[in-house]
Amino acid sequence: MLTKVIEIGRLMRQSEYYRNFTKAVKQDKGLALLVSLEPLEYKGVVALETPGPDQAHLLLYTDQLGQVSGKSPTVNLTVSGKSLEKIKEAIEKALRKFRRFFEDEEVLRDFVKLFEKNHLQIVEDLEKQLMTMEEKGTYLTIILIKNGQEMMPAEYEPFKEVFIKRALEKATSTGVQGTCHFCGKSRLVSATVNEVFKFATFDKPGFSPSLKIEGAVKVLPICEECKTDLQNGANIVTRDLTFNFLGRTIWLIPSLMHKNDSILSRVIERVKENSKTLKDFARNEEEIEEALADEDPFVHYDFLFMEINKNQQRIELHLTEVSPTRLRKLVTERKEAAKRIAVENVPEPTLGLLWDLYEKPTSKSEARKDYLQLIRSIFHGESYNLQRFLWYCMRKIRKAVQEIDSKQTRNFHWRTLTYLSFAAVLFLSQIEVFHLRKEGESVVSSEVSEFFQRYPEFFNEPWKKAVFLTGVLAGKVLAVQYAKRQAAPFFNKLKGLKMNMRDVQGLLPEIRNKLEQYKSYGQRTDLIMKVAAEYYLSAGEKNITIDELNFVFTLGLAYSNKEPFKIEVEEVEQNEQ
Amino acid sequence: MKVLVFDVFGKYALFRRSYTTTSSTSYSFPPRTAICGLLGAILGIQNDTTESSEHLRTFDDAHFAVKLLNPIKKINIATNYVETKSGQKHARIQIVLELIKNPAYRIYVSEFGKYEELQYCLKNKISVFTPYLGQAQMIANFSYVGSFDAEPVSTPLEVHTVIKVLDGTKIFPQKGQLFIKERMTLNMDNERTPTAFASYWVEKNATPIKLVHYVEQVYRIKELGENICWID
Repeated sequence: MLTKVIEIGRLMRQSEYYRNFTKAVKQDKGLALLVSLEPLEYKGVVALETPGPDQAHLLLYTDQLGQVSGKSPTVNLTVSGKSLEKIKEAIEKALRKFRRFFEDEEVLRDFVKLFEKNHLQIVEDLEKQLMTMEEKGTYLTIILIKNGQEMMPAEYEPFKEVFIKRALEKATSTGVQGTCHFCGKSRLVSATVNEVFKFATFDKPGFSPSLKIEGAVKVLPICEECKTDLQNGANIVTRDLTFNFLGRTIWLIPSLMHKNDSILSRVIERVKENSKTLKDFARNEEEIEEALADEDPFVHYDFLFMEINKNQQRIELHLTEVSPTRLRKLVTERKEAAKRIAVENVPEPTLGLLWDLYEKPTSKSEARKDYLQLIRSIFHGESYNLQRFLWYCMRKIRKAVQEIDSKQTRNFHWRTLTYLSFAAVLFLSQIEVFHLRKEGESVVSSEVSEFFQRYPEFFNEPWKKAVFLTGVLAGKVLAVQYAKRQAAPFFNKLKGLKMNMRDVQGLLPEIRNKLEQYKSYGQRTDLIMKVAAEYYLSAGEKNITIDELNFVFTLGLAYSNKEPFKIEVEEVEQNEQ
Repeated sequence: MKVLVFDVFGKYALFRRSYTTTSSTSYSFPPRTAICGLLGAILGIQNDTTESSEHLRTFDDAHFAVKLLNPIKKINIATNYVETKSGQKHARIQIVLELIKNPAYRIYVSEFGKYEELQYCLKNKISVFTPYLGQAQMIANFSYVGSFDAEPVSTPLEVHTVIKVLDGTKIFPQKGQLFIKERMTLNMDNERTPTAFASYWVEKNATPIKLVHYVEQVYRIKELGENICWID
């Protein structure tokens, strides 16, 4: 993955060297110390509109989280409260960080003296500005005046030189002669990848050979040139090739099987365009995948699902070499699955909706691990446990059923959830995540069996058809009850959708009794009842999980008001007469 | 050229990518250094200190090739490590490890100083130290396949092992194949400082790779019907 980032950095090398290390500030407004150069004089504090993306490098900004490193003349200024005390505290902290950039540099020594001399005035001026500012977070930088012209930090050569020096400081001071992991050349190398990516930490003895930090350079030696490209590549990835994903971040890193700079540049631009316009991967998954799929088959994508907290980066999931062909398949098969369930207004089973089915798992939960494993299976076409998946579906459906009872309707209706789960099962089966075997028809064809033939991979065993039809019939009872009594007490017989096979089979006579009681047992119901019985007879003994059984049953319930099972009012009315 | 062939397999493997420390992700197959370690364990080669990697010198004149016997399936498993930061007695920290499930590889070793000794150990399933796949808790099993003659063959052909990426290497992807490019350490000096690195193509589903052009020699093991490329 790092090699691919370096390749991006190399390809998109900045025209000026220092720009490889600059990052864009996140805040819209900043504060700047105004300093005239001839003579060197403090002129006050001015508010500043953050330069646009093309000019962001002029601030010479780079991350300095966690330590006061003096890497940049632009530092964050975050005020945690509106009290004067809090403001003062924030100013002092920011100024300390800011001054570090100028310290220990002969060429900038006069600036340090200037700041010391005017310290009280600077603090006072910053206080005034901050009191009137609406924003909680801002930044502090410096603007120089020369011959009446204002200069941003990057427009002053000594600042640029110090900035580059500081960016490479650790690499130079800790560098040893060795072989670079990335270019393979024998050069001065250092263990400084952690300055670029926080998930690579070499400052802990546990990660170094023989538990010695000084041995870190043996783990991942990198030369200055590769580090510069890595930093530039990382800036591009974190700025332009990033999507939001359910409160987390996805880094999308394109690469090519065979080196071709023009294709790679084009792909980078395409991803960049998409990340700018579509931003949220979960919401715009289809469009993003479609755009990525429309590429040369030799293009590959790495998806990194990242958990980023301040100065911590954790790789939650790393999907390597996802091909455009696979992405195309995901898009088309997802559409196809949604179409196949033949129910209107049911959303396609996207990653975002699957996350919802898994009850929006957080990083600490066990479900998160299962969900990420499912994502891996989807993108890589690896198998996933169907029973596990159905366990999550049923957990969500059962809760939705209970919510109806308690009149809470915050989430999807249980019926929609069932259709969505079914669409997901079909989709995952179509993309070879579930390996459902299609089986031939064993019972004499009937009107209802045409329905099963639409989903041969799912209704691949007689018990599924039998249980499904029982669900359909139970759905009819509920519908009739609701039509006549505005209540569905038959739901209580379904044991909270945790029935076993005996419970489900036991429902059949009860269904018949109920329908006869309500004078709604017509010819059509009789036909379904007979077909269900026939399937039960051919089902035999099977070891079926409660979740799978109840999922099939719930599916029948959900389809009971859809063709070809839709309840015929006339039939009910005729019988009533 | 004589080539010793054996299979190594286990329940899980983790060959940690060196740049992933706090979140461990795994290479798809063992790097050369890991293979040397595995063979060193079988042969009972010992280093004087943990800082030394002198055992690698035993294998300096050996060539290796690696074939995937199972498709690569990776899973994430949360593992509790001892937390050393706080100093509390029973403190633990949970780390998510990316593991390879049911790893199985075929290793090919060319003739080298301890060829016969290794053959004897593999044949009789003798291992001086416990062999493992990347991490000490992932114990490996191995089975001897045989000692065969390898003949040079020329491209284009289907290669059954992972392929080292060299200038001009050209592979031709087939339908359903998924290629992963891995860059890993190739060799280290006696102080564990890496001295060479290499990139490899590996096919995730363990199917043969159609190699169109390759600048180094490819060998064929007739008895096994397999074409191999050295990883070094």
